[in-house]
Amino acid sequence: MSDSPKQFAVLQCSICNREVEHEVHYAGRILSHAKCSACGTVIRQSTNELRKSYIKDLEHRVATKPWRVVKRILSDPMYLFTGLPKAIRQQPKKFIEEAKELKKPEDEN
Amino acid sequence: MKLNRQHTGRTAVVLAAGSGTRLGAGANKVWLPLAGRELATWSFQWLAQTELFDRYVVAVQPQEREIVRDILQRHVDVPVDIIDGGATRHGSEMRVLEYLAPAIESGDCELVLIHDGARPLASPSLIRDVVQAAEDFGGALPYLETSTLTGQEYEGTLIRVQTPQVFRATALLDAYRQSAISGFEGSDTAMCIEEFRPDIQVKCVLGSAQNLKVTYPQDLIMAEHILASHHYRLR
Repeated sequence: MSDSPKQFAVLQCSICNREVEHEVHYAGRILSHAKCSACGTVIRQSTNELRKSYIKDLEHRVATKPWRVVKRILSDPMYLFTGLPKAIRQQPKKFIEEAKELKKPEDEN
Repeated sequence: MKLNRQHTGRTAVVLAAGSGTRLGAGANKVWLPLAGRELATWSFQWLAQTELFDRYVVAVQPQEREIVRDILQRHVDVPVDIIDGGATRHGSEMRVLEYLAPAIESGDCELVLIHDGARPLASPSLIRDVVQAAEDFGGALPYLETSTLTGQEYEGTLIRVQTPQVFRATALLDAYRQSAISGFEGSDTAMCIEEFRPDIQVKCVLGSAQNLKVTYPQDLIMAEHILASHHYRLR
């Protein structure tokens, strides 16, 4: 899975009803909003709801991180030398991106 | 670590080839992130949790094979055979069944479960119920009553069928081979069985509203909330 906060996928728009590509944005593991490429409709969680979900999820991420890293190393020992250092270096940028996603006002996009 | 299960004679198939990508419209929704991992991998989590299956297969788009291999390596604890899907759902099922044909014909694979990769919340208990009904009757699928104008009729009630759908492997292979000869294409697995193997009784098992199919963007939000409310563990 890409760590990018933005992904693209074909979903059906509930407004124009077309099955088209949507731009899907995430704050960490939580979907913040999705935009229809055909009609521009944006489906989003309210900022308050998103922040609550994000904090709850962040607690879960932190609590399960050690086990997830161990599991990853067991399935791919080279990850310890290749993927893990890169992942650690990227953490600050990742959290800044997530915070930006949480700060977006309701009327943006 | 990939654990090999003991022989059960049951194979679980997840269809993840995606209709949108087949039309060249863009990326496949079943590989979108959902609560920290790709949507379709949740299905393998629940299937593996039941310990009912000794073989797992996923049908994907040929261009997605490598990325799917990497995803499964990271998030799925059981070995999964990756095969190329077809141009339609029916085509993917046909390819999977031909892939499984040697095992089916030798009696090694007795029951096949077919699940839609866009339904990440089919719980282990629902899977167990459907498998048990299929073992008792020959075929089984989960359903929900619907109040909309469209649906299939079952015992005088309008219903919507869900997946996973489970059938006796020999009957399923036979039905799909007959459908290939006649050019029939069903929209789901049960339709093909009903058309070509009406002798197989298909039991409808009460499904779950939580077993949603991700179609709209808001379904992803709903699925996230359901997973979080269950602490990412379905039973």
